[in-house]
Amino acid sequence: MPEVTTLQPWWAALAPVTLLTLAAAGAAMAGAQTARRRGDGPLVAATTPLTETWRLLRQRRRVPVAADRVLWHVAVGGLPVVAVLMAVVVPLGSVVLVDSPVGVVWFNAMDVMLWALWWLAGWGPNSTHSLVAGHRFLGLALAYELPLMFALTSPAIAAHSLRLADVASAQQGLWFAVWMPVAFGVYLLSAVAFSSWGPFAVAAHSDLAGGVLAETSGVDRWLVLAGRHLVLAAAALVAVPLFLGGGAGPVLGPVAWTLVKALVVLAVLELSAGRAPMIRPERFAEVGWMVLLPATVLQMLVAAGGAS
Amino acid sequence: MGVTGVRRGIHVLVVAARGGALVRLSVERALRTLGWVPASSPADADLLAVCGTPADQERDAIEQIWRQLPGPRARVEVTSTEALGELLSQAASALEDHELQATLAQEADASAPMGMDHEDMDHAGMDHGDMDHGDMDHGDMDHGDMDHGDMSMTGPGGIALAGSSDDDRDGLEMDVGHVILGAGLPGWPAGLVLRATLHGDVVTGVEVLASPAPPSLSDPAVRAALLVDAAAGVLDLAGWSAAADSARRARDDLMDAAGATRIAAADVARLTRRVRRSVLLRWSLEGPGHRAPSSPAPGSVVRRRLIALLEAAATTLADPQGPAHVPLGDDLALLPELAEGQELASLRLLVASMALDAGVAADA
Repeated sequence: MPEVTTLQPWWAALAPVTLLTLAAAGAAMAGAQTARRRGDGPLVAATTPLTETWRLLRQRRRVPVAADRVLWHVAVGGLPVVAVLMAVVVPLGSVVLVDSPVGVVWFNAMDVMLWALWWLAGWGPNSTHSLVAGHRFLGLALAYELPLMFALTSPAIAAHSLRLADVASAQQGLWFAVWMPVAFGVYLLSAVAFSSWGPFAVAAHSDLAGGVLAETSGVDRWLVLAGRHLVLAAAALVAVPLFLGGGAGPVLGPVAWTLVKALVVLAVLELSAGRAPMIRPERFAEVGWMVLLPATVLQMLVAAGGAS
Repeated sequence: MGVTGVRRGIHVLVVAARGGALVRLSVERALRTLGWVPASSPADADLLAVCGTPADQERDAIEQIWRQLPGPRARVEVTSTEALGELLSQAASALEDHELQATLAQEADASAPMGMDHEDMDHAGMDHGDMDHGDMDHGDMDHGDMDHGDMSMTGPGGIALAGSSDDDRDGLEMDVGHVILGAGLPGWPAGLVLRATLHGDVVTGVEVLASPAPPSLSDPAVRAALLVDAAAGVLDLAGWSAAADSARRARDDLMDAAGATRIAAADVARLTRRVRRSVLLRWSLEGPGHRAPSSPAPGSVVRRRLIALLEAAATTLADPQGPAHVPLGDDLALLPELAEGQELASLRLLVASMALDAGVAADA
């Protein structure tokens, strides 16, 4: 069993900052891609997250008539919180903030929280477009959640542990991403889906006038947009111990390797935006249940066979 | 402050008045050069750009949209492409004008919903939410309908509750609502106003309240530009923004100068191939294809039209003397039938694919 030291609680203050830095890098990548498509220069591209932050923090907040303010705020503020909670169980080298014996399940619980948050973000503003988008997210969630659960189970079975540090150290010989490609693929797809991003941006898309963002302005909008990048960043971080051998690697230290690997995964997630048409939940449901679910179950059996 | 002296990244809600489609094209091209971003809803916008000259009824709608901009906010009314750059940079400096913004903020607070602004309320009430896009067009009309319609119950904040219907497909109570779809929605044709009845998110009825007035065009490059623009709108709503951006670049080249036409024609041809070949687009729009053959699958209508639009643009560029319209065989009168039973988002795709700004559906 690998030794990881649990950090003193005050280090927790650093978690949001670190995750925000990672998310900002992700947002810059996505911004650069959009800017390049629109024909803007690289300088504009790199600063997109900053100009957007500046713009939204100066913007006034507008609340529609009879909005459900409490639940709306829960949703808007909840996204960044859930992202940070996802990330705290990830070991950085030999240290970890929360050395949870059930880290994998914890992550799964946090991603299920996103069901509630996206739906509430649709419910809160009392707007048809937002509400439809919130429900549409639930449709997508029904399609990806079970395959995701099995995809998360595979590494845990192979490592005989739900603790992320154990899962990471069980990949001494070969990364789980290599011999569990189905689980890894489903994990990446689901990460894009639960962040409502890229081809799965069903909760916030122009075909519903911005969906859950239709009425969201100012700091609320910033929290949702940043929250989305934070969730993507957290998912990228969790992928490192789950599938990519944790901090293992030559020359660089384990902390650096964890961050480098997370950045690569984050780039894959972020750059999925705009490349393909939106995958509608009613289409994806069929794939999720008929293809991905059996495939991940098989993957789990393979993982169990390989581990015993 | 960018290199050019004008702030970048300003989000602009482009609203085209009836007949203002061509002006919109110029405005959108100008936005792209400035590094500004099209907004997806009033809540996202710093700047409201009205293209063309709105009629009185449209003016009411535009006032409603203007009130929904959170602020700092500015607005421009663009009627011709002359001095467009100057208009936009003035708007950008208005956004930085603190005194002006303070005044606007006070105005906004005075008419805020909490202050029981009656007009706002009533409009807002009608569609169990959507209000925002909903209410802006022909609000009064709806308001009238509503009170003796199926949404007579009034809930918190003066908002009518969703009603029930006898022929509800899922039997759920209180999920019938009405939305007015009009100016201010992304990729919406200039001048079109629809009233949609929704059961949850499923469209059960569409009524055309106002139809667009497509421009009569002689310049084939502009005609092609409008067709490509319509295709860009469909691609955007379908979520494929990389393809939509390619289409918009080709559109802007077509609007620019005669010299760029040949390059643009090649771009359009390439884009057409890309769209036709995309398996994901076909799957996303049409689905796996075991729908009853009797009912027209609206998704395949959308895809067929999208390809036809791009092909028509290519044809127009190759043969400028050729026929002016696209033989799509559908028009606005068919919309209610096509839209029934579809999701709200699919209705948006259907409308976009009709390319009403280019005058396609009306001609065919």
